[in-house]
Amino acid sequence: MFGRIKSEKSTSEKKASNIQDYDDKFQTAIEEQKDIPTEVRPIFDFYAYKLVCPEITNSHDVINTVISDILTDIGKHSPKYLSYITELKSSIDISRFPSLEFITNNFSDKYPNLKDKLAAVMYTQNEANKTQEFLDNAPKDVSNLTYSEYYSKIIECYQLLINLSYDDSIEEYTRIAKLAKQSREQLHQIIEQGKSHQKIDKQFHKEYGDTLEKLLKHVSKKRTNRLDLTICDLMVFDVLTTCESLKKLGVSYSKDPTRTKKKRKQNGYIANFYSLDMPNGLTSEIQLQSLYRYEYGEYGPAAHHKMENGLKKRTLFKRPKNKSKYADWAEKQFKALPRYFTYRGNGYVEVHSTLQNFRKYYDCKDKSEVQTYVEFIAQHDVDLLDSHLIQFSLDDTSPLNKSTKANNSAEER
Amino acid sequence: MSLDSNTFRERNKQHPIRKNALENFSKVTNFSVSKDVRRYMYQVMATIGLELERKFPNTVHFDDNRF
Repeated sequence: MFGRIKSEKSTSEKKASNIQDYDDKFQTAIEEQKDIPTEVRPIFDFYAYKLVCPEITNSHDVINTVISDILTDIGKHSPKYLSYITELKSSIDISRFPSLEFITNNFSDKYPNLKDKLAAVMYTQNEANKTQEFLDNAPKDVSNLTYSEYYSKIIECYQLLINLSYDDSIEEYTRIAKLAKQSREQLHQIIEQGKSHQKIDKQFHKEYGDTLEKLLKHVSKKRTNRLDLTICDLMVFDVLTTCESLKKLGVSYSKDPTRTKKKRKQNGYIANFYSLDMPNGLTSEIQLQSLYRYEYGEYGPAAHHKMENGLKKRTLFKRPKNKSKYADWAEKQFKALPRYFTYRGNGYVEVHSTLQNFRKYYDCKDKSEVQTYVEFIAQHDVDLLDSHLIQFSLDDTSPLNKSTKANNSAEER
Repeated sequence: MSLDSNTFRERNKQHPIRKNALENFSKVTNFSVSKDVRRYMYQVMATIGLELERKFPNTVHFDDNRF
């Protein structure tokens, strides 16, 4: 899990954009004699966290913990049901999924979404299991396959990759479907040439032999992408809504549907968003992604800097030829740079150095650019070159001092 | 006499509702980058992480150096 603080440049751009949106709505409201909007949309992601889910191997444990927590919560609010709830808790069988009937009968009133969430877990788990079965039976040695078997396996892989995509990610599965179509055509040609029952020859193996291997690896990577997100969604929701330490810190989970939402983009960008309200009017968002989707959105087809309009390209400002202007150049980079921090486990948070932030955010191909930047930071504040660790514990719950004034004039770097 | 769109916009900028909306927006977006607030944000993240580790000990591991 890591977090980032929005850069100065991005914050001011977002402020300007939100004011522009407001002015447009204002103008339309006046022209159409409708109610004038009274609020400019605030910026919710000034502080944002990203949680990348691990591959979940023990979904039953997770579900039982979540259900047990929900039962405790019901018990707190309805003490008269305590004995009934204790009985229910003991009836949860860790070795198997609770049935949807059990969920409907016991939780539908207070937790109407739970049934849907668990149904999604069951569906995605089934999908992951089927994929695993396919992978277990996949050929270990491609050279023993016939042409027909080889292409059939490739087509099956593409079909699985489509099944493991989200319905909304049209660009993603259209791209895979095109590749599947090509493979079907190739298979057709092989059949026409009468080679379908022949074993693949050495030349073919040399040229195309690793295609199936690569596809199998891809299927294996994508196998749990939907299951992981659905399970982690249960876990994060459980922690955000029941954690006492968070409450003591003054953090509350926002139920505003415009802020707590699921993003399913056509390009395959998939994430769940949760929003936290904090003291002093601060808000923060948590973005949850499976590891597969994180990599897909960071380095793959859904990467931000690959957006068509190019506005969000993470390119460096052009370094001036005149060395005396380097400081201005580096200052500009600095203002456009988010600050990252990462949770390393056991209460440790690593605050990244400016140089690490620079490397993480920009695609620096030219080493001399990095060197120039390092020199600038060193002149500015040598501490920025080093990352550092801070440890917290669950008992350390002093809320944000309300006298801490919100202040946008960066008092320190 | 009809006013063009730009003139309308200029006039609207002085509208009390707009002025109020912008004032409130300025308050909630006047974010702090102070050390205290930053530390608090780290603490919130650590609390979520610790709680996830406590509740789901066999599931959550935050030792991935990719991030």
